[in-house]
Amino acid sequence: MSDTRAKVAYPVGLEKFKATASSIGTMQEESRIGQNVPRIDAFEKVVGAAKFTVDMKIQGMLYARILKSPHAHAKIMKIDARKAQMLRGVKAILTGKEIPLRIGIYVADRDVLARDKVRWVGDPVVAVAATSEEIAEEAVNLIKVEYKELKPVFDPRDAMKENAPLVHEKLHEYIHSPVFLPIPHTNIANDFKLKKGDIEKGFKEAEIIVESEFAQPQVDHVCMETHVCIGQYLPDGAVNLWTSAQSPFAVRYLLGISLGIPLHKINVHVPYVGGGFGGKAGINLEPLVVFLSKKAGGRPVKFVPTREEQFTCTPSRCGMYAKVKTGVKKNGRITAEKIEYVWDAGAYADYAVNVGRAAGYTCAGPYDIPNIEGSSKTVYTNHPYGASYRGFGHLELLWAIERQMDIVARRLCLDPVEFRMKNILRPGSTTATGEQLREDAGRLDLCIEAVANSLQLRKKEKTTDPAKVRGKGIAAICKAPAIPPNASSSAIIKFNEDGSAVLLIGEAEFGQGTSTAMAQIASEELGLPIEKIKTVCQKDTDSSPYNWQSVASRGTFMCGNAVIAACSDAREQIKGIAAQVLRVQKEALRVAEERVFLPERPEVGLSLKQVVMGYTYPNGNSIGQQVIGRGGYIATGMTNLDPQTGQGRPAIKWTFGAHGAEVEIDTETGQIRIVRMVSAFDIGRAINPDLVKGQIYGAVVQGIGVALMEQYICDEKGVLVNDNLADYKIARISDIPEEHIPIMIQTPQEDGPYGARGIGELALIGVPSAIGNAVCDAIGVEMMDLPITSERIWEALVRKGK
Amino acid sequence: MLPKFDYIKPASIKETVDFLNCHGKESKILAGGTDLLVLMRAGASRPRYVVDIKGIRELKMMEYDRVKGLSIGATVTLNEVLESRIVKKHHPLLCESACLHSDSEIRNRATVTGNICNALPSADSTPPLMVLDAVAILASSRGVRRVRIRNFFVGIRKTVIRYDELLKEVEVPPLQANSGTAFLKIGRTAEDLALVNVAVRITVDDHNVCRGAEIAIGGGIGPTLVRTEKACAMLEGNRPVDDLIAKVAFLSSEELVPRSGSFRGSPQYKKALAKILVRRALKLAIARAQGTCHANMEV
Repeated sequence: MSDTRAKVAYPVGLEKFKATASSIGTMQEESRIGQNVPRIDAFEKVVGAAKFTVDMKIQGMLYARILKSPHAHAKIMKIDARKAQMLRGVKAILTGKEIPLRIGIYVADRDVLARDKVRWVGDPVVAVAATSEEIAEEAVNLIKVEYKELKPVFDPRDAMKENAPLVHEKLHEYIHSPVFLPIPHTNIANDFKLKKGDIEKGFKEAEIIVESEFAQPQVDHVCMETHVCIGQYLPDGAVNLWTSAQSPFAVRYLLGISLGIPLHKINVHVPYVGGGFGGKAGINLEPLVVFLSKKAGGRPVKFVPTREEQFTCTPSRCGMYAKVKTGVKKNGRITAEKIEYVWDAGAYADYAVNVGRAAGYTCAGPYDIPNIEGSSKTVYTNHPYGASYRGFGHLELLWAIERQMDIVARRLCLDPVEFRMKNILRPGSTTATGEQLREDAGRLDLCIEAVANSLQLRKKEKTTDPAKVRGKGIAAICKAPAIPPNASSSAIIKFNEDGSAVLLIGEAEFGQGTSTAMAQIASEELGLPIEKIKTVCQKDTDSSPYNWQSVASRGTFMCGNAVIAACSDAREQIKGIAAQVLRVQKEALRVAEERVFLPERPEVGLSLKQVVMGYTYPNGNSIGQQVIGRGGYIATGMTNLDPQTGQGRPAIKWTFGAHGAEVEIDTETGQIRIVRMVSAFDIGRAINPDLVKGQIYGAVVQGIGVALMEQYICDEKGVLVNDNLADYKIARISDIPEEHIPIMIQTPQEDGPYGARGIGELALIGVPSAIGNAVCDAIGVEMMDLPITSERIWEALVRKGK
Repeated sequence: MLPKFDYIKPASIKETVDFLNCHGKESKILAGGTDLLVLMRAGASRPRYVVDIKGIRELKMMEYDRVKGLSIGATVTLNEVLESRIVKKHHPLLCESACLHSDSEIRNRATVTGNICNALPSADSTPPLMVLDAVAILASSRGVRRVRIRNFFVGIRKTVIRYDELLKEVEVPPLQANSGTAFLKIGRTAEDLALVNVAVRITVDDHNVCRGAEIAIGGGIGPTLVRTEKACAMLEGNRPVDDLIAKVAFLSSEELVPRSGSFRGSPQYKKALAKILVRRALKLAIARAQGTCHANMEV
């Protein structure tokens, strides 16, 4: 990948932010914002000193294994665990009947262990804790379960039909967040509707109408570390958890409310996390180890899911079917769009309801369309369950929308860039939910232009091999964080005796690099060298400040604002003590270069270490106290959406961008090679450009996997047949292009830290769409389904008659 | 988790075959372990004894003799083959196939002989060995037995190896003058098991007439890899012009019976790929035999 070719563009408005940044420190000092500071966790990770949950061992720890359902849908008739019970070393055997509660983030629909019936192949039925993993496994093999098979349903479109087998008969009894609309006595876990303008009028105005259908399978996050957790439920009711999770506070909250444990009695520890990609958001296997520990008398219990279990028992990404009907004038203006999304949530939809909702309110993608009718249904099936996945429904919806844009452009004989430019969202235009975009919302037009120019989109590339053809494609993207309107982040900065500081944040570190960006912000705000700030990467809910969840590309934005506020608070405290000692006005002082001083008379000042633990006069009199800055940020101005029309303000901020792909296809074998990728995002401000590039490079690798190879393949009985990494392929070094150009557009977001927006998910969504569009450009065949395997290309070419 | 087993680490071939003589039926040989451990973890193989041959010095051997050809010992890894100058010089086909085998991490452990013993039709080492007419040398307490690779495979994961035998080396006879070889492979991705792989060896005389050809097709194309004798016979004594190559390729693919229902690829697709790969591999090998093109062994 060509690092050196990254470009940074500074559109109007940024100068102001540069000034703000440097006005805090002295003018001569170089800003830490925009610097490629090396990751603060790099050393520990490179030498292998970084500890992950999977590395942990606790005195007296037991090991868990689970017995899983061999059926996709069946009643549990009888569980016989007598033989297992007699095995030496077995300390607890747990069945679903013993855990009379349901958990879940937005809908409490999940059994900790299957009760009464199993809902997918791999549904955990019995759990064993023993003194070794081998004994636990042996015990599991001795347990006999009798099932009575029920009729399963695998296709969500079938599951919506009348008389379809019900995956959750008691859906109407489930507790759910009021913003979701499950339809009782059906498999529809959430029915999101959106209405903007007058759809009928819009289609009447249209001169051409194009209808398309798209399909995408379930895929996996493929984190390197599986959903490992260790739980301890002490007899006094206190709970300790160590877990490979993205969101320690969400785990604590959901565990507390579902078990009825006061939150202060639960401590959730999250050390370094070996990858999340959304799959470790919310709550997952944590309640299982907590209940096992309770049954084992309070001994800690560790569960390390195998790779196969990671595929089947922990959340995947939902499958999705889309129907898009677009009405357009011959001049290229879209007048109406009718969109239907159906999500294959699998057996549980506690998180998938919100994936469906988020994709519902962004259903038309980054386009200003006057008349929209959208529907996004999250549907239960007997597949492994889907949840949050990097992009939160947007990769999937953009596969449909951005493929449809190219299909419509071709029908109109318009250039795909020109057609997009006529319809994209710009500052001032109105989104699908009726939100008028702010002037500082970001510039999609600049992103599209940058990609089209860099990729030379209109230039046809030749190949020397007559069997091979090349094509280019582009996709526009947008996303806002799918967060509740009251999501918040907090930060604490504590000073030490020597003037160094410890920064506490609640954002888990699972590779995204937020901790480093936060250290840079604190360093900038306090005028303290970055080496003198330690951002604590390991979280525990007892001592870390609150953070709603580490998801949704909101970390730098929300946590960054919290860190700025905490540093500002600390500065005020420092100035307060110094003003008293120096006998000057507090407002006249400045904190920079590890000092607090009068800018016009720099010799009038104190070093930070004289102040941050309180000031001691020569005679021993002391004033002040340890400087501990605290700050927070809560989402502002968001609203719940109208249940009938989906209108309202679901976005705290938007990030826009575009991906471009050049592909080469072997027209005989159908093999595809990604020749080149270009990606541009208006990220507002890159706090650390190297980390932004890291996100972009990594996400595009993931996106190539989703585009070309990743898919859950279940047989007719619902068994996942490719539950391992030999059979389930992800993109590797040989599958990615040699050239990938990331472009950062920086139109500052007024309320973002130094103007920054999010990037984590953005860099992934739209990658398959750009590749799909490039494939069509190369071979003239519209690919409607993901993944675009060589065989599918070959089939399409055979059908086309070459 | 692995099933319980006893770990045996013999120091010599003799110690190994003596042990196999007594416990062969309950034993599995461990070399690279990249197949055995996967099978054991899945519960598909439950040997009482795992006999680790990595410590046997005589087996870590690779040498070339002008008469015998190339010998590859049982613990030689695929990356050692790939990086070997001897192999590159005398049997570039083996480098070419090793290069496309799995990924570098696996090749650091996996051995050529292990790849043969595992006896999957999709193995990447076997088609080249088949077209080069390699011989497996099996040692037992009774002595040594030589089996041509073309007679070695009986079915999926089934070979002619007896319980008391150790495949101690493969011997690859020297390549005739005016010969060209080629190996091509297609998987679902760049680092996948083969959907189809093809090895070709062809000898042409000074008048560009074919004087011997071998084609082996592996992948998910049947229980064992296929040596397409009928198709090869068409080449014998003829000039390999494009039309003839196309016919040979077609006929080769018609000899395959891929099973249906595999999620990796449909029988139609695999047969189509085989036809394309045989054609391409033949053209490449012919060009190499004529000296107009050299084996590409970029790592």
